[in-house]
Amino acid sequence: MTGTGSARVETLASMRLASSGWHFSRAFVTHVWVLIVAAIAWELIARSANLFYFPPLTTVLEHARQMWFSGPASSGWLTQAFMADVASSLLRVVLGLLVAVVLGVLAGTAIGLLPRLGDLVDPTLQFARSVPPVALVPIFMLLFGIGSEMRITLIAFTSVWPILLNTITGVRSVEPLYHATARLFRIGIRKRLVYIVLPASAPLILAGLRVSTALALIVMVLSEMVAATSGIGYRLMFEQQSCTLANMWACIELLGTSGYLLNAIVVLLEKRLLRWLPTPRE
Amino acid sequence: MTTSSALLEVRELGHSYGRGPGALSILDGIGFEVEKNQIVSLVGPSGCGKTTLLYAISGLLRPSTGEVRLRGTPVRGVPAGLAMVFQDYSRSLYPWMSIERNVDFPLMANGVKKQERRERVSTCLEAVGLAGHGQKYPWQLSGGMQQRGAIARALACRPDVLLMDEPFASVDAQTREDLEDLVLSVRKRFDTTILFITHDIDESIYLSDKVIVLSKSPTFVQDQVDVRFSRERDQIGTRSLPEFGVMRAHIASLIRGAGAHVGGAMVNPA
Repeated sequence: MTGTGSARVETLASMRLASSGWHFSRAFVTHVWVLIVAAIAWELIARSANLFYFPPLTTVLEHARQMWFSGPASSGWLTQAFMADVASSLLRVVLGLLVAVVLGVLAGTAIGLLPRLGDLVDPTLQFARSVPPVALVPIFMLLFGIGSEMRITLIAFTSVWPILLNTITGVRSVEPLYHATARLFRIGIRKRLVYIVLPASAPLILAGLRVSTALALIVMVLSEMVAATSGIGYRLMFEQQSCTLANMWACIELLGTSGYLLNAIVVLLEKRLLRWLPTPRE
Repeated sequence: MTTSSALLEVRELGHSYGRGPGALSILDGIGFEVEKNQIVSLVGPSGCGKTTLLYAISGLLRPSTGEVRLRGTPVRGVPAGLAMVFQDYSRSLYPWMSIERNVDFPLMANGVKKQERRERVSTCLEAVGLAGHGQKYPWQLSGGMQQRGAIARALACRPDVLLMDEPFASVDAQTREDLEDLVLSVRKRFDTTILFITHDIDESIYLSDKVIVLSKSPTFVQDQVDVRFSRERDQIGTRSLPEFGVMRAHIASLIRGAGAHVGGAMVNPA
């Protein structure tokens, strides 16, 4: 029974692995037309309605090009505004996420391994994570000023929770036999952490990271709408107040694209790190 | 008895969970010895506390009474020189490591030099018939092959005593016979000493130099049966020897009787 069972899993999984490249391109062909239709519909509706607040897609894209992608060839055709808006925003997201990953995984592993510590900090964690990040903007401004530090801290504070909680769950649910095996083979605690606890909890940690990435983007925009002088969020508010609505729409397009790309990077990372899983998740 | 030359000695081993009148006694004064290069089997009815016994022998659990000596030294904590093959290979091999890496990992973690690790890993994989499969992940192999990987991992540590906890309980009959013969060939090739736990009476006789028959919980040793066949064994020939049948009957009656002795309340002595 076991023999046939594992054989079946084997074929299924190798089929999936072999076909994942093909699967991706086929998905692209079969689903991406919806996006193209949506874009054409936007264009047509905007042109026929001729509304001030709702410019056609081509106009938006042209404005995006002028704003961000019409720089000198030496800087990769990127403009000063691109550096001020996009690069600074993305840097904040990446740094915030990095802090969240490091803190979340370290604290989560400690809490997951030490039940007493877990009992001790659990109420505090539940309280802290229930505070809406927006409410913390005023406090963080007092604590960290109105520079990038405040925004990075806010991003890190918001996106640490899914990683932290998933790490705790992941570490706690490591198969007990993995631990028993490690003890029997006299594997030291540090090696056990790096080579057993972390890989065993990696699927949950990475799922947490995916949720955190989406949150990080939201909080990034939000933090840049307050007392900022750079970033996509800042640019968005600025263009809206200047009534340059094509530019405002360009910011929204850019946010959508950034979110999509960030998520794609995390998914790629997940696939790479979890390629040992018998059935890779789509 | 006290000055014994045995490699592994288990003396008056007792264990109970909890204290006072509500304590649940699992092991009740178990004693036996394993000589170097022997295969000794522990066989008993289901629920005979063999996991507790095994954990006590391997130092994962501190017994309430008695002691375990490895090479004359009392076991406290997991001793060097023990390796274990678990029943549940799918949860004891690490799924994120290739087979090769699984075998290599305990060596690496215990500071064996790289060159020697490479030699040991390839020797052991070859010995269990997994040469050329080292790069695969465990789930890419059948159950029997995964268990071969687990055996290779244990052998690579060059253990004084290899503990095997019902290692073939979850594989099909054909694979099981192949793996039993693998155990015999491994003992011959590496001079391994093996303590083998099983519920299968035939398997215990076929593999062993000595079969230790356990009772139902609280467990004690009912009998120690010496198996005096030559070490060259054969799945068909050995199993059809008349003495094999006699031993099987003797052990089986002990194990069946073990249910009855616990008390008249036993409704279903399985």
